[in-house]
Amino acid sequence: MTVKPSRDRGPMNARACALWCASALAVSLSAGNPLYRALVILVALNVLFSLKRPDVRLGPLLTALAVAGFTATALTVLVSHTGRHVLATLPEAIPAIGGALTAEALAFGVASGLGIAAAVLCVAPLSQVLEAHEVVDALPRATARVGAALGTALNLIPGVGRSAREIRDAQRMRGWEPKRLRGWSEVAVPVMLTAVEDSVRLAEAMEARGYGAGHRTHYAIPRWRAADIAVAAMSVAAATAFVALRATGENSDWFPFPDLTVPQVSVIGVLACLVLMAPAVIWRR
Amino acid sequence: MGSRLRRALLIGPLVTGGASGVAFATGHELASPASCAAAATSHHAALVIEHGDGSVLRVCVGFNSATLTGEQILQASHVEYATVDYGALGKALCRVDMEPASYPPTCWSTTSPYWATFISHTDGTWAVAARGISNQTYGDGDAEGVRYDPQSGAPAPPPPAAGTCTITSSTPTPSTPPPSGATSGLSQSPTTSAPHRVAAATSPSPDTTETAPPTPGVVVDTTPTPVIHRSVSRVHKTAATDVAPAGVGLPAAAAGAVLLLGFLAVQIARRRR
Repeated sequence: MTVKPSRDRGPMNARACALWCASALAVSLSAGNPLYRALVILVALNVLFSLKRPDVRLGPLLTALAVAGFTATALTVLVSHTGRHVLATLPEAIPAIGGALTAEALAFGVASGLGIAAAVLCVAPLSQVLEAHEVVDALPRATARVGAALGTALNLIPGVGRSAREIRDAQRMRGWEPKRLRGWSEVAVPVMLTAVEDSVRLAEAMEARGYGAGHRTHYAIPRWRAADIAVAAMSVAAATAFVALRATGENSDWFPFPDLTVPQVSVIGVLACLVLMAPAVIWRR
Repeated sequence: MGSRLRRALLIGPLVTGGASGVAFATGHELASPASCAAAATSHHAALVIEHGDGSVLRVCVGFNSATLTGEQILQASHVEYATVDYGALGKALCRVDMEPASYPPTCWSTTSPYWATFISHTDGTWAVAARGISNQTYGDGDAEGVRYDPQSGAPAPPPPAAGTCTITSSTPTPSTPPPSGATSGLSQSPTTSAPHRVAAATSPSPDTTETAPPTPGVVVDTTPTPVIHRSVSRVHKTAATDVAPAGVGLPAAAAGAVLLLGFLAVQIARRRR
């Protein structure tokens, strides 16, 4: 296959992207092993950095994941006192967390943190690569109504927050002070009424544009290009191979208890993770 | 260099911690092996361990106190084991004699096999132990049974403990095999010629005077029938198959990780430019 100029590849098909997300999620959830999880994290980061929308900043997401991973590690070390290699000991008098802090619990906590990060990064392309309307468009026809309703409702949330801020400021100018809990009704009621008014206005606007009058029409039909088909096929194949490895017992859960051991990985499993790199390679800049 | 020093500093306490964990320091006066039959220890308890593959390990522990906990019997037997503390219930037995190789932090999962523990009094019938091994107590003539049981239905009891602690002063004859249930373990006896970690290898000759390991208080059954069926060969076999793919898998994973990191760096650098 010759390398095409980037124009011909077009943007990634939303359904192909969703298939990649589902496959990567299947791999990360069936990987009971921190090495596979780390590989999936690296693959997902590559895909995100290659395909993310220009207006998206990945910093907040990565920070949140780092915090979640650190919390999982700290909690596991403090609560699980299993394992033979004691790093430190807290006094037994402290409830719940008192006892031995072990290297095995630390390893298990890091593995759990990696699992959280891998699972979240695998579905991050749905919000960081695709536009919200692309996701709603990609839904199958049977769920299009529900999807549209959910998408609309989620879109209203920032509007409600914005109007709450505005109304609070306006009430302050009128001498209102946020002292008692009862006093907040003077903000909550106008926010509620504004939200209802906004949704009625939105419903009218949708009706004026013919929503619900028949089958939905699209400004542009999302196409399946060769690259999209290749990515979808490779993702599904990788996930199938990985889940099959687990079903046959070739790829079992890794536990560091009672003694820390190096997790075992198989070449097929590593290759399955690397195949998930397809979108990043095809849409690289 | 610094990291090596740090590792040495870390390992130091670990080694001493491990050693103190193994030491049997509960004040029970333990007798020498030969004296169990001679009743220098007033009491004894049997330990019967049945592995998932059906191989059976039997150990007799002599003691002078009124009772022992299940964990103290295991400690005295010098069989490798690991536990998870379940608070008021006591300790759960997670691993015995290197089986399984590893376990989750809760000791078992919803589908994994687990070590079912049993207690048997002098009448010889097994009952499921109601408490964790650190809380369950055993008296003179009792037996502690542990069986690696698949998590399906009620746990099946291990083979009878009869014969584990009957060491007669006369020359044992081959006509005293452990009854009935042990026969499943006996079927594997030809493979047990491999070196035993517990130094109680029983040669088939009736005049064997094999002694227990030089650890006070542990009397390993030395009847001529090979009651210790440690399937050492099986352990080595699984270890070999586990190690083989790791030789290729880990370098492949490392190479893949380097590749991915390199690609990521290039992507970020291009974006910055």
